[in-house]
Amino acid sequence: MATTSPTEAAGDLPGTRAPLVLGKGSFHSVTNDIAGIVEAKPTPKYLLGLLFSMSILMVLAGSLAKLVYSGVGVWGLDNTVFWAWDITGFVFWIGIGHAGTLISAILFLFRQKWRTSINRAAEAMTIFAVMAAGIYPAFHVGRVWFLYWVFPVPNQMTMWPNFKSPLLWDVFAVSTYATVSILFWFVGLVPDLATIRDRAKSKIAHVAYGIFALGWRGSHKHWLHYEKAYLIFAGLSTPLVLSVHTVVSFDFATSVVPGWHTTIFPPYFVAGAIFSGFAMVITLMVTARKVLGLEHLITIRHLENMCKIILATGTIVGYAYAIEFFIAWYGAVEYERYAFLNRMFGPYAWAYWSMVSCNVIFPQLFWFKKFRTSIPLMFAISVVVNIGMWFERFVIIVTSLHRDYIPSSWTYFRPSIWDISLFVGTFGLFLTMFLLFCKFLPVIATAEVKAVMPIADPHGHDSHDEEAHAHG
Amino acid sequence: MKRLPLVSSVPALGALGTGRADAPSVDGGRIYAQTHGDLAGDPRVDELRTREFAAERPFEPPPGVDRRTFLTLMGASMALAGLATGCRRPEEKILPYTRRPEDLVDGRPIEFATSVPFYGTALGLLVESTDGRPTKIEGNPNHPDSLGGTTALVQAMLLDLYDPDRSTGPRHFVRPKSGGEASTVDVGHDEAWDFLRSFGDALKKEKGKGFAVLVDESRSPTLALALDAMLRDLPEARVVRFEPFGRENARTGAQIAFGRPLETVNDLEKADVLLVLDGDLFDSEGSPVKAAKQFARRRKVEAGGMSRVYVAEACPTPTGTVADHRLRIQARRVLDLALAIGVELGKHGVAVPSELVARQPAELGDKQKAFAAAVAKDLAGAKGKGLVVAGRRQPPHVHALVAALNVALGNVGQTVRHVPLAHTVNEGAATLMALVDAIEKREITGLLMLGGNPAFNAPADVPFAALLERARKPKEASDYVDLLSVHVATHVDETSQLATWHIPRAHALESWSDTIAEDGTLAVTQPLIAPLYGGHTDAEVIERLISGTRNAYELVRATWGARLGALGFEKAWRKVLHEGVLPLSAAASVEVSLDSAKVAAAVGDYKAPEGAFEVVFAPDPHAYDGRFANNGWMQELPDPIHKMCWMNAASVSAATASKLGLKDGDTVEVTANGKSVKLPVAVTYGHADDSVTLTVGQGRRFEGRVCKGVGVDTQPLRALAGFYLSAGNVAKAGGFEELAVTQGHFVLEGRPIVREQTTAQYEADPKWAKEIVQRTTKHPALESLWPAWDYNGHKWGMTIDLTLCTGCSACVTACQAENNIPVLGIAGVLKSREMHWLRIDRYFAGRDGMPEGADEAMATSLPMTCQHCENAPCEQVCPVAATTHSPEGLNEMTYNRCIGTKYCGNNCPYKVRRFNYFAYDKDVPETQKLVFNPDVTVRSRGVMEKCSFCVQRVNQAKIAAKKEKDEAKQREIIRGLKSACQQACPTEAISFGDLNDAEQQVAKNAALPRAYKALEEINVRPRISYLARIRNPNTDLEPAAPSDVKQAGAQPGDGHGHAHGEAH
Repeated sequence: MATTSPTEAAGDLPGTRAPLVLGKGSFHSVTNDIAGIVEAKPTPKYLLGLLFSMSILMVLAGSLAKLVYSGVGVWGLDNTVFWAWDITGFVFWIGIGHAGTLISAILFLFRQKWRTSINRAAEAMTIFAVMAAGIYPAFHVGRVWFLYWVFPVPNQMTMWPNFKSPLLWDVFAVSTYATVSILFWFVGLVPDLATIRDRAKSKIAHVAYGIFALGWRGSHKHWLHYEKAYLIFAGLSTPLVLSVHTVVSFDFATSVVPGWHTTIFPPYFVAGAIFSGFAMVITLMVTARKVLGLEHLITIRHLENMCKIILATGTIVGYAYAIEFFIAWYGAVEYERYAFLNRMFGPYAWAYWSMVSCNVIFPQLFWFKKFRTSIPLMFAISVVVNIGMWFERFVIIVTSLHRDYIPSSWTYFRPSIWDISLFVGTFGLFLTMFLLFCKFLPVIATAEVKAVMPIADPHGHDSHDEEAHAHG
Repeated sequence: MKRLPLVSSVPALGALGTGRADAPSVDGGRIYAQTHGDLAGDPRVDELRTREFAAERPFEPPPGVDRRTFLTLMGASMALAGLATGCRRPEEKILPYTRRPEDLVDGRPIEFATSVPFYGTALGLLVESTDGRPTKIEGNPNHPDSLGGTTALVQAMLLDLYDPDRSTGPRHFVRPKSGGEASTVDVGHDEAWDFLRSFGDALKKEKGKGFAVLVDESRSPTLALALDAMLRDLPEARVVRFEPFGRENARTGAQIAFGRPLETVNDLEKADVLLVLDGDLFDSEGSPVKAAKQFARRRKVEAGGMSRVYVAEACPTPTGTVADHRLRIQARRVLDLALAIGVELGKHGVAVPSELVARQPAELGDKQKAFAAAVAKDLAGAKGKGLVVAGRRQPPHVHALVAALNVALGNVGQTVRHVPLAHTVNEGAATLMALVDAIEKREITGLLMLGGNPAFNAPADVPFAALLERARKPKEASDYVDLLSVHVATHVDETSQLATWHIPRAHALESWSDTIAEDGTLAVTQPLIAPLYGGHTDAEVIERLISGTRNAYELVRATWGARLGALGFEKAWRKVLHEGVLPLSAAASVEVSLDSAKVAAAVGDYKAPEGAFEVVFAPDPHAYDGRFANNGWMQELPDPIHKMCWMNAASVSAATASKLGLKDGDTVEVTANGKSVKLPVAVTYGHADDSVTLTVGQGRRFEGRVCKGVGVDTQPLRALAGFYLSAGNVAKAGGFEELAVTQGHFVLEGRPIVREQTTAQYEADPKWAKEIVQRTTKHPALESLWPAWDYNGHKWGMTIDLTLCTGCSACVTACQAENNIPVLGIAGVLKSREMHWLRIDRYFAGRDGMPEGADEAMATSLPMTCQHCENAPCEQVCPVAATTHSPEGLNEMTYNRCIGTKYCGNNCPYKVRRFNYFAYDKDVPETQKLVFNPDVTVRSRGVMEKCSFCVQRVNQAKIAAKKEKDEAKQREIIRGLKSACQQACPTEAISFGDLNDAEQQVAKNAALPRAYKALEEINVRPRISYLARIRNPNTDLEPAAPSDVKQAGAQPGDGHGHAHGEAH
């Protein structure tokens, strides 16, 4: 490595990588930067943002109230398309959640140190996305007040749920995922919560953070346990990254609906989920690093890495689209062929081609470094990918359902205002939670980031492999 | 009779009759019961009868109990009967009978035989009564015009009974003495009676001069006798009849041909060759149930001897749908076609008098010529075994010519016979005009209208409504007419709103009356319930008018006393009440002699309405002539052709639509009679070109809660000169209204859902339908992950014979009535959320939404309902196990367990599951709650529902069978079990029963080589077998296809087949 102090430009040199933390910050300055966000008075800009997202949250509340009061008939569903924006929204949000777990668990296991700056926020995003997702399966049912019947609760009716039903598998998969994600996130937060507790000036903050810091003192023993616990959770979460969306895809794959009934769905869904999740992380991080002044901690290198993952998973998704068509043709089942032709050229062709351009064509721009390193461009593409992934779920669910086996029952689904408002409302929940998180919790894993700073690695200049020492 | 039932505070109503409730019949354990007649002769009963049915005391709630309370009490008794077992457990009070009517078992239905006049004939019915309220209508197998079947309209009559918009009492238009506002006041029944008596007294003084009675096609001998009696008292009075869709053309046609008006009675069962000229014989005209039943008996493929049916019509109908050959032809060209057939018949040695066919027919197209030649050849080859029928809307000239052809073919006395009219009355649109003229000239100043609604459906140029309005004007007004009008009607409808007096008419299910079928068969009409709003029968009103005191029951008894004779009357009367029909009462045929000169003259005189377009008028499939417009079941029933609900549209052919640049829902302006109406267009494959069909009966001005704002009134175009058929024009008007259709895609897209062969193909390869998918895919049989079910006891299944299904949809309404299926309204239909458990799909062969052959495409109807799959996809995916498989093979929906994920609906390949998106059980008017079947749960919001194979009937039959010790009797009961759709079906296309009982029709059908399963290739193992449609085409018109029938079928494997059938 060059003896000159590392700069962003260094990333251009072959064989070298940009450092994960820029500037000459000390451990203390990093703590100040991150904890400072929590300790400072909220800025008017922040309050305005919170106000905005909370008003959207009210849209969610209103939509749910209307839904429960009147019935799911307020949506645009019919006798043929029984699921539409609801399950589209569910899969969309569950998919977004995937990036967080992938970053925190899989990249951790693979010793991808660049994850440290983004994993906290990404995990938070996961949890909030799962919350948003959970609204849908809960409230899309006709009688939400009996929802608890899906849980295997012993009851006087001696009725178990139907273990053959993929929806039941969903219940287990998503609830497990939510539980593990929250615990994983919380474990990672403990040292940082202790830091904020120690710096707290108000009694309330001191006590509140103190409770959640679980008496963390930073002793070696604590760190030892912490590291072990973290590793275990990472190990537990890793299969979940694959399993959750696999199980979600079973909702479709195990059905008889042409266009749903395909074996490619599990890997295709997982790739798509990671794809959309990373796009959402970029959308959020690009904004957050600017607003919170964390450009030196969440660097272009982090963002570029994520762009590469989007490129990779986007290509996998494109491949899946192609192979679906091939199999539909090769399988020679009339109904399946029709389902796929109908996607491309039927009444919902506009949705299909929106999906293809958003998910397959635009991410290919990330082959160019210019796109991977330009903040506005990557932001734009990340938004496009998010839109495209919503369309993907919409295309899978609605275009398959609206024309299945019996032509007499073919219909055309149109969303109602309540379909749209509920979906918009889930963004209100997501954004509100995320903004509250930014204000009340350290958005970056302070302890972990310190470990990857150049000053944490006195021998770094001796090695090309920073990872080997970074943990010291 | 030991104890007598007493009228308690909750009137026992129809249940007063002590039906032998414990006497099971073979008919599925259901019970035929005698009614009031059982008790006749007992003075105490007579006293009771006076109390209940006496006209002086029409049913009114006991003092202190208003109607609301009465309904609450009725509600309570329903709760008692288990009606209110919805998921929400509504709170209702339960009150026991203080004095229980003898033999009444709560919740145990009793059936009463009755009959209703309709279609210009009468239909015998068995009406199920539950706790004193009629809950279901079935056909009476003993009655020659229903033979156990019904039509959708007949099924829906039940709902009309409970229509909350019915008139609740007499109304009287009061003219102020001096100045002041004129007003309409509600008056009591006594006042109305007093008025009638004094009106009659006044008329008697004048010998009835200036008085006219306008009747509808009532078919009641008692009314006929009452009218005769009235004419004795009022010899100068006139009686005229107007029916918006009556039989006057056929009767006039007989008059031309045979010199006197006669009723034409067809026997399709004897007809080897049937030619229908522009008539919907199997659904809405003639005697449709009888015709359909007789047709079906000759279309049993396996029995052999299939008849051949030719239909030439302008607008597709259910009759055309089941035809072997359907010719689309303008209605105004039917006479030309008939002439061409007459000429062709001559070539085949049939002695058609030459003057008959002397008229030079208009130039026919090649298809039409070929059709005429082929039909003539067939008819000539089946002398005495053929039948030609002309439709109601065809002019008398065509009816006369058709009668002459039948004479020439020797069919008269074989497949068609003529009987005298039941009651000869001047009738038809022209008669109404004459009446109006007479009123205008002050020849008539008093008018009594028994039923009908002429202010709504009189011909457009007969100013009937205007006349009634003018009669309400101040006497000084220049256009005032002196007319005292009395309208007896179930609703305060357009006519009653304008009449001087309105008197509530009893619904047929509340009336003592009688009917005479087209062939003269007599039947009684007995009440199932006391008139809900104190209505009266027509005969009663006439009786009051001539100062009589007898009530409807006494009048009917008197009529029947004369018919049955005094000796042994009670016994015979009770038998008639029990059977519902007087056996062997059909009229003897009249010997007819053809006056061919008159027919020839009439044919020569006929002038077809010439213009750019012809405008054809048909009764609305929902509203009929308007009388069912306020009936939710009918409005929501998709019509057999367009599958449209809650509206009417102008039907034009696809070719005409493309010529005018029209697509479904575009607004068109239809002009005729110098008037025009704007309404949406429905592109109708198979319609004649340059012809537009308008349905009459929607767009009521009467603001009922159902019919308000529904459809467009097309009456302004329907003038005297073109009452059924007119010249006119159609033009695009700009504007669009989405058609509320339940089926938007009519093309099979090559899918083997409908399988169809010709008789020749079937003989060559009988297993084709069963095996075609297997043969084309060559896929090994799929296996299931789950073990197969053993059905050791019963194994319920169904077969549907597509050869027989006309698409008439009687089954759909029967299912709606039986299973408490809610009505959603047009908004629900536009969102494709209609709740019917059973639907009739209509398909053409073709791809990409285009029927193969466009307007020449032949459609097939396919009833679709839950297939009760043995490997049901819905059962697998329900997370709470709310839909499960019963050990007897039913796919059962447990409403109380359903949380409404709707996953089952997505995963149902047949798309037969229906979801309660809203609380459709709320806001049902109190009276309409009485129609609910207490054996079926009323579903609440948020649960899925679907066909249960009438599990309530299954269980009733099983319980009834279990009570029997004798196995043969048990089997008999189970074999008598019928699903609601099966029971209603006029062609007996549906068989239901135990597949494990090889003797049952359903098991025999399921074993037929042409029995196939829809979507069998996805291994869901459906429990319904469809019997492939077998057509019996004439090889002259349709060259025999190669015996390799592959071309006739779908080839799902390569996607190049067409599933629908033969080359066209």
